[in-house]
Amino acid sequence: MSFIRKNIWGVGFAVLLVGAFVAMGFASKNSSLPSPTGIAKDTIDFTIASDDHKKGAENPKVTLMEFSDFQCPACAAYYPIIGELVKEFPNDLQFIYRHFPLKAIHFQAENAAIASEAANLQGKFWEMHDALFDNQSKWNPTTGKGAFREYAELIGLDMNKYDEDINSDSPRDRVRRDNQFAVDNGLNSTPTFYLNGNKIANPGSYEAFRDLIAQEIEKATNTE
Amino acid sequence: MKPIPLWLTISIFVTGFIGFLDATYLTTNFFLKAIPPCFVTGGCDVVTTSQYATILGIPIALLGALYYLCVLALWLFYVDKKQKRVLEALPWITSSGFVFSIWLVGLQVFVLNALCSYCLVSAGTSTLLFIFALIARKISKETLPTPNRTISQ
Repeated sequence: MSFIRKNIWGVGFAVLLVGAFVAMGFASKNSSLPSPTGIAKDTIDFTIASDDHKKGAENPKVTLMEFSDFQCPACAAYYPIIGELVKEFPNDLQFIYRHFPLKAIHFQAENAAIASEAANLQGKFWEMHDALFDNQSKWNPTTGKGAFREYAELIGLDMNKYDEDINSDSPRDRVRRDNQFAVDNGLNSTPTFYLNGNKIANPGSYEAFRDLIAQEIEKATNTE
Repeated sequence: MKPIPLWLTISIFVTGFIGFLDATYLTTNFFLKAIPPCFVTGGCDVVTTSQYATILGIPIALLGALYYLCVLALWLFYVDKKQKRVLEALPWITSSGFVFSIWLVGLQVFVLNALCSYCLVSAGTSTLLFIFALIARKISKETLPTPNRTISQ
């Protein structure tokens, strides 16, 4: 004790310094794009429904399916990356968006998904999808529903129909269908990506993602 | 003036240290643009990437780390020099951390609708520091029982 008392500033400083480094060390292990962990199935039934939300090639060699949540920041981080990928491989890549609203932690996620489905009933799913991700930081903190209505107006939806649809069963059921599929396959985080039915670890950058898809396209081309 | 008991001295150090580690961890996450894995609660991503995570571009986590550093330094100074003024000032200083924590928890509950466990830990440590500071001041004000003096004539 007397040593500590004599050198109280030195000991205090040393403890703080070590503590700071340990805390920083732990933090640096967190990846900026969290990869899904746990028991999500490695391969899933890759039957694509006619009403799945598709983007990109009509007759793709490679299909990328994302289970996503409009309120999840990591999903918003991947959203521009996906947009670029679809542009990069216009003839070979198809992107499919499926809902997996983590409503236990993101209180507006399901409402956002329902809003996108209401827009889908007027053929504007992707416009709403873009509006929701573009403005995620703005509607995230607020009550959401009002903001979703604004976006619906901005993208030019018939608002009478939107108001009617948003309270009807069909958009909700559609969201729940995707959600149920995700739950049945053990998914537990967003975004989770499947490439041609196989789960992939979330790539850490656009380049890594692009290379992964290019490889898969090459594989598909070789087996033709 | 009564001396501050050892348990209280150590409690203030430990609590401040936990707060400091927590805030340093969150600050590092902020600058690495990383998302801390949440425990118990589940909204760390929403909270730490929200527009409320910074004040004028300065991450709140960094302000928190500096705040805990100041409290710890002040407490070291007290233990070293036994300056009574520290005990007078500490409740005022820690009350600012306490009030700020209430505001941040309020934001999480009422505005963001998401809770971040690390932020709640910090709210807990800053509340405890405020309580400890009040206790320390109270103890220091208690006077030692005056020894019986027999006036001999």
